[in-house]
Amino acid sequence: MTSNQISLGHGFTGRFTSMSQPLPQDGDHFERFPQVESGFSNGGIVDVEHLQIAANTAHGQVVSGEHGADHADSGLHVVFIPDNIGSFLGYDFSNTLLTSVIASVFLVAMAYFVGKRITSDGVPGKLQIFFEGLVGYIHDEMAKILGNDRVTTIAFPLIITLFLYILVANWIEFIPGVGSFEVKQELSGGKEKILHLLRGPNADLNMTLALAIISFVFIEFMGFRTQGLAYLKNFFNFSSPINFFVGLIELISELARLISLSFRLFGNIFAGEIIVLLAITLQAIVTTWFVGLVNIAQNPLADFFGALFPFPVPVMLFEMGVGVLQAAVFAMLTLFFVKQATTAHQH
Amino acid sequence: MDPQILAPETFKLLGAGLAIGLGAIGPAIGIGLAAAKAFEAMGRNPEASDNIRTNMILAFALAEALGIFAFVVSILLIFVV
Repeated sequence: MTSNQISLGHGFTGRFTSMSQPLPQDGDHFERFPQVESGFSNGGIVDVEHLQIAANTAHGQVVSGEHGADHADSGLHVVFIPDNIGSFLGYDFSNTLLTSVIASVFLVAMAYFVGKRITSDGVPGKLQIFFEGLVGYIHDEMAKILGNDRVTTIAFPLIITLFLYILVANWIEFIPGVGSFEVKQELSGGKEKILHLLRGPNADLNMTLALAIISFVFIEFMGFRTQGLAYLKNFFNFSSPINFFVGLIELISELARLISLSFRLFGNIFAGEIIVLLAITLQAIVTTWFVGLVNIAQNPLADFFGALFPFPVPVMLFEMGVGVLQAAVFAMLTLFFVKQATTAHQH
Repeated sequence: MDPQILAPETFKLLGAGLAIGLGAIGPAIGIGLAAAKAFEAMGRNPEASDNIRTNMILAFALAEALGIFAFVVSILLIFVV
């Protein structure tokens, strides 16, 4: 029994970060991993690196592919900060940014495609009826909540764009193959790092914070537009000490929206990725129990078992539900805050 | 006792777990109460369902914000501190 083994009989023992050994540098993705002789029959020992390769090959989003680089001694490695996959006009270009650009291009192409087929004088097709129904429904609901046609006309494009963009960005990572593309990055000293080309944009705090800032600026803009400078009276009110402190609390809660909006979306999507990773790890563990061999990455029987009992699939289905829910929550909260800002304060 | 148990990282991880674990209790109760009352109201007055549902989600978001702050503290403890 070497040091890079964990006992499954008594749960996970020890710390993940101190368990594996540095990996060999040569060979391809699979053969790089050392063969371990002990299997389930030998006390239920699973090599952490085999769990990692199983997780890596099935879902490359969360586990880092930095084999043989400076993080070679980590087992399950959750990447908080997205990897830089290159530079564009002198700026770093991360994998989440690339995916968000793809989501934008998809939405623009969809808008162009649908817009070209819409007729106002002919018989509308199925596509037109579907999109008109969707957009019309959201517009009517918004008008009901806001109760102000002028505000609805201004706010509607932004809010439906937020909803559709977050929805597409959340769902794009469930397209098969998105986590499978990898790029190699040369490091100093002849080492190389394997990075994932695509990653869900909302698993990056920069993205969600940018969305929250857009939403925040729009809310304040709408407040000033409808109420003028009187909008500031909500926050800086010197008429009485109580009103002053109420205004101060309003100001703090206004600024806390930036944190809560961005971290709500980020937390849900990031936690979803970790849950999917854990489901894949569980798949590797249970496969090893049933198949009884350690090297599950090369065993066709393990593939068969995985096809019979795909543990990550229900989890991914749940995460798709979370994706549409969070997109709706983000858009609806922006809508409510716009309503709050545009409705005059009753005092 | 293993001296590794008393390493700073141990308390960091313990603190992160406690932060999100305890911090999730309050929002959970709050959201549960809000949902219970909202569904009760919808049952009594189904015509007002749409209005109640939208306000319910706003109440969820306000209660959930506290849970998110606990999550932020937990993330900071794990990845930043």
